[in-house]
Amino acid sequence: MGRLRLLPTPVQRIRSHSLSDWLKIPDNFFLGAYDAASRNTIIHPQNYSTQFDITQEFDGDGQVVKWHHYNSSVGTFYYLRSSVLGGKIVTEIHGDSNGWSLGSKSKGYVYAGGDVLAEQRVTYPYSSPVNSVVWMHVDPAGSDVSSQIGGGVSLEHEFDPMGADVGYSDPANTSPPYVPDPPVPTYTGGGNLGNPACTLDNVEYDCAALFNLLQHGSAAIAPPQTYVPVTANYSDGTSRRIGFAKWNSQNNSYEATLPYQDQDERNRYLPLYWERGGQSIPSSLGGSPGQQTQYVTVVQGEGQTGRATKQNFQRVVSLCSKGKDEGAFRARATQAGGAVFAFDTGQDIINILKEASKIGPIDVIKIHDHGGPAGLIGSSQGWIGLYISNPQAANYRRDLGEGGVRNTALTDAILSGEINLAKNAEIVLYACNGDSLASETSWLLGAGKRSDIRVTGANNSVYPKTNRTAGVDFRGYFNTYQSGIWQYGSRTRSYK
Amino acid sequence: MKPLQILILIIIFSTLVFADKSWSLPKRTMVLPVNYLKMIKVQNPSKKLTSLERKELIRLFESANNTNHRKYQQDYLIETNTPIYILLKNNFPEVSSQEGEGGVFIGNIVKILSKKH
Repeated sequence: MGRLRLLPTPVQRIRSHSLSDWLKIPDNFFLGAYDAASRNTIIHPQNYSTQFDITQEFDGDGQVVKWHHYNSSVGTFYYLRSSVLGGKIVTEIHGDSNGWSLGSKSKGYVYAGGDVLAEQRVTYPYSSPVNSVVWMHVDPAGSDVSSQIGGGVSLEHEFDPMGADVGYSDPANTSPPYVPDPPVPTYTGGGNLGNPACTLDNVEYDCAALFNLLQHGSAAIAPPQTYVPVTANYSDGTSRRIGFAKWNSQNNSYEATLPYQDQDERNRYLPLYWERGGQSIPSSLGGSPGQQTQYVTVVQGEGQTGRATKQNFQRVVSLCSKGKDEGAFRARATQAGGAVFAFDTGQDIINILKEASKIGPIDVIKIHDHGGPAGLIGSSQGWIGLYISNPQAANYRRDLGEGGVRNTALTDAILSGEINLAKNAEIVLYACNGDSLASETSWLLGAGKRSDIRVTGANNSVYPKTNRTAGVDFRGYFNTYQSGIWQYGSRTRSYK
Repeated sequence: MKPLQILILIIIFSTLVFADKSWSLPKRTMVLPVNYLKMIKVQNPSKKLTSLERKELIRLFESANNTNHRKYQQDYLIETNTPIYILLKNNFPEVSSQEGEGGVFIGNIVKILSKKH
């Protein structure tokens, strides 16, 4: 075991136990331990005990053979590598027995031309193993989509030209709309995945007969891309990837399925129309309110974009601190357009959110308050606010005033469902130095299997840059975390 | 040393902020007043200020407070280990009564000083 040192760059990306999983690590949040060969053997979250370590061991060739995650639901893995394939992993084996058998297979990989063609995944949804095969579709930039035998398509990663995983949403989008699960167009498994069989209208067809049809003009070759990305541009200038459109040979067009679940969500997406060359084209809508899916035909062409007017996309609850600056905080909270509540203490925050949860899930929580490295101050300086809970942290405060609570009280309420946060919900702290509180809160939520919730805090003083946006002084950032892991930073943050 | 190097050094040193040389808040500072106050270097925080210096120090905090409310519509906390605050506290011990969680609100400092001085 070697020396401990800070990871050298602001964002480190390391490959985790899975070939398809990536971790982003912020500067000063994790410490790495390195062995004599400068191999990263331990990743240790700063200010946490060693029980939160992620460790890995290497073989004589310098390749990882064992990987251990502190979270037992992730577990320990051993890697079986193939010398014929140049040391590539062919099988992942469970190194513990948390819901699965010790030594049982976790994943298998199938390679073609050096790239992963398919993964065999073994899952344990009901205590007995279920095998599934996932086919990986990777473009030259490394962005990938996976498809299953049953026809399901999953978005995996989207990399920019510099290799950073930019995800499927615009990080600058301060209030990303709710996005339902990716559309699931029908897909004939195995069609182009190493199987040379010809298909016509997604049905396997004799290649010789198909060639005759092509010569007579009775059939046409489909475009090279079966799926094209569909992006929704909203009236406020924001946009985000909402799924993929699939080529429909019969209609000679790409088709996307935009699911919605109820009238409320239908309202979120309507009015909806698609645009080509600045001219709006009415969408062909199918179904009626209350149906599960809404079908939209996208005109032919790669990367067609749709345009939807943003209407009440999210349920926002804005909280403003009482006290000497209540007027300013309330004015900023009102900008968000959601319900506004004032609070004195950290306990008030939790009580308000519990009450607000009674009428449905909350998409975004925005809190405006004075803050410090220990947390949110509340309406007075008596340690009555909302604070970090890690006693090893430098700014940890042992004794709190009446009404003062730690973020564990907040996360416990969220994890128990008393505070009902929607999937992919977000908590934004518009307070000075809320970075520690944000990262720790997201860490606690991630440990409780709510890693979908993002928590944002600033790493310096926050000020109103304009009437509509907050900035961070000294060129600081609003940092956004998921499971304690830094996702992205932005210099400004809209109140809305 | 070449004249150009001397000129650069003069420019660099003239931009450094020393409490006993410059007492006013810059008109167009790019940082928050509270962070500007934190940046001010104080060579001797325990120095007993003259009558004129005491007034200028109060004026500095008043200026910061006015900017806070005019430009940012809110007050800011200054930490109690900030050199300029230590200098203020050594010359106006009564401000320590305003200390609390996270430091002292600049507005509270100005309020208590303006009452007595």
